[in-house]
Amino acid sequence: MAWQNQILRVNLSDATCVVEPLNSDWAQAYLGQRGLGSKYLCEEVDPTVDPLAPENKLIIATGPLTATTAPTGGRSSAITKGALTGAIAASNTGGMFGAELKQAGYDLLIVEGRASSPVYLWIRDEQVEIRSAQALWGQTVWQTEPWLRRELGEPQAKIASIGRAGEIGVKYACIVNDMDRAFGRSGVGAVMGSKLLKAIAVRGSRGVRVRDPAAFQKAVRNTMAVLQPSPVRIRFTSRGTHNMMDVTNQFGALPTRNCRDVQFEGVESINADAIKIPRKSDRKPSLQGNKACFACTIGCGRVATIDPTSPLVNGPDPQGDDRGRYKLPSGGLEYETAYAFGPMCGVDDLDAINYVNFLSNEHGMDPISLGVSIAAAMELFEEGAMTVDDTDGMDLRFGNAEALTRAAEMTAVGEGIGVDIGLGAARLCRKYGRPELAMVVKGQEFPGYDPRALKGMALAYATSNRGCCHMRARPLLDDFANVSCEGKASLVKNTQDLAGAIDCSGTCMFTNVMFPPEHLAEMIDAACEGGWDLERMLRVGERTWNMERQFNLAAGFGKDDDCLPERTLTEPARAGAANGQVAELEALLAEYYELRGWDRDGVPLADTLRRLDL
Amino acid sequence: MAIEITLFGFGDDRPPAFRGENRLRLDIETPATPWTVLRRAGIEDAAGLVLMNQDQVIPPRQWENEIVEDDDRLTLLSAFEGG
Repeated sequence: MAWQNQILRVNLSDATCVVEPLNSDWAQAYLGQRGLGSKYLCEEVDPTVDPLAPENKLIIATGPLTATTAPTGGRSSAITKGALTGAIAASNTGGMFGAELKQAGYDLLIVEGRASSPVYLWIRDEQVEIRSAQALWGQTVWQTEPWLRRELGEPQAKIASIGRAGEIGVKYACIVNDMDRAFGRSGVGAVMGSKLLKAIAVRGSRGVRVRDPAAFQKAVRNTMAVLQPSPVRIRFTSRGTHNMMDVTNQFGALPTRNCRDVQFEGVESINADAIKIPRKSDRKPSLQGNKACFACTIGCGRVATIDPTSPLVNGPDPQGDDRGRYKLPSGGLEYETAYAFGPMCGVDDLDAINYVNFLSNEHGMDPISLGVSIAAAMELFEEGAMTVDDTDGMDLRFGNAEALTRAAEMTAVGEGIGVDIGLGAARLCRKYGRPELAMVVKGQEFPGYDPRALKGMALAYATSNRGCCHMRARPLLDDFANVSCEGKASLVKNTQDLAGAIDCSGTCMFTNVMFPPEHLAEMIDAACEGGWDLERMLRVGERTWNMERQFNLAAGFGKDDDCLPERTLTEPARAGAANGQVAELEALLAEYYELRGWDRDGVPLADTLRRLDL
Repeated sequence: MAIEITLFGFGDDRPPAFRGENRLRLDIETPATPWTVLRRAGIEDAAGLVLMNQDQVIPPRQWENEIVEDDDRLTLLSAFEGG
């Protein structure tokens, strides 16, 4: 129980939908969500496949706690070979979609092949249909969701869809669910678009059963008793992840102007306080309120508006449509979004940043990758590698808010320089002859933590299986307290395994700083058969990590890809706690490989694979 | 004997001694330990807090040492592992 014990397999090439039993041995070994979905991918997909070929698969995986009353039990993951990176991708979302899929009776949805024309899936418990999406192709996420609910006559349907970006193959296109939540990273939306799958609509009524309801209820109560009064939970609720901006800036770890700098002089215009200041025009702040995902009592999500007098929300947009839709409240800034469109591009215009965030949700683009790709374009422009002939006359300099918004608009629909920006920073910088200006690892763009100051995060970035990522390990608090490499290899390894365990459970990563992981293990044990404790869960995390590593090695990645951009290794930080320092990787990497049980080339040793039953 | 403390990342959750501001000046006998200073500022729980003196991080293992001098300007960050 807690698992639904069945998966839904949809082959778009031959238009078949088959319900299969879940492989229970794999569920015991990989628990759910990221681990279990990755197991199916590794068993069924050739690691050398072209990510956009029909042979690649897109797997939406829930965890055993998804759709239960476990705090934050609403998570699901999209697993595939990433279009942006060519590495294994597992992109995690909140909102309501994953819980609805689980309630429809499925632990996993596996999408195979490619449709002959655009389609969407309509899943209503055991009834599954592949329907034409011809009328939807070319529509935005914000058009697709209400259209489908009307068409289906089901106002409570939960929907995950791609926007124009996924259709035209923007490499970092994402899958958006519930209007402004997303399977965000690594280009999972481009994979969905390559299958001509526009959307997945779900309505579930089956509920989820746990192994021992009384024990589960008690475990949830115990967890809530720790979670609710947690000062971190309270801060997350009141300030959101956006709170981090003041901290990284003051510390000297806020990537700014494509990592030329580590502090941004314009922070006070765009930080978590700025969004609460009433505007002159309507005396309302940008921040309208909070938004929580399924079963979440944290509510870190923000709802925001743009100044109603701004040109960004008035008159026609470049496609000739009324911009009035941007006056409505929608998903607001999180730290990563604010960082990527703000400091990374040198922009301190709150409305412009909010607008590009709205565009990302509307058209289905990963805001981190979009912001960092635009930042790379800005540096290419300032360095003369890109000229006004390339940018259609646009002055694409750092700090130009108008250029930021226009570049984002062009990327969303594949127009002009937007086509190149849609390739992602690595391909963009290669194309313009300056590959060293791409702030990426394994082809994926930097989150908002500079690795020169944050020594553990440097290793976490370099070794992340899905490309540069701040969520695959949790060294941050120690990094702030200790600007040193000491102990960071084991910290990164251990928190990668813990993060893996959480990612397999169906709960949110943010809980790891709000209650001890033993609480998660207690809930899993009460929900699932098999006898679960924290040690076993950490083993699942470690097993998943090594399996992902093997996929990447087979796909052609190696030690040389466990790296950081040259800039962070050679250009010292010019301010903050690590003033004068560069990122340090070589020694940490050797220690990390040894702790992982890998050889000097980063290949898991036979003993390691045996120990993990791989 | 004045120490200045500046807060970042606290929002409206500032310790009461700060009286709604992000900056506090304390008259305190120096040298003092960071813990002494923090307690004078009304901070008892250091979970998630990062203390800096100018741009230098003061690691928690040094918080019992008498290292805070007269006119030092301390920075206190409220850090948690965000997204």
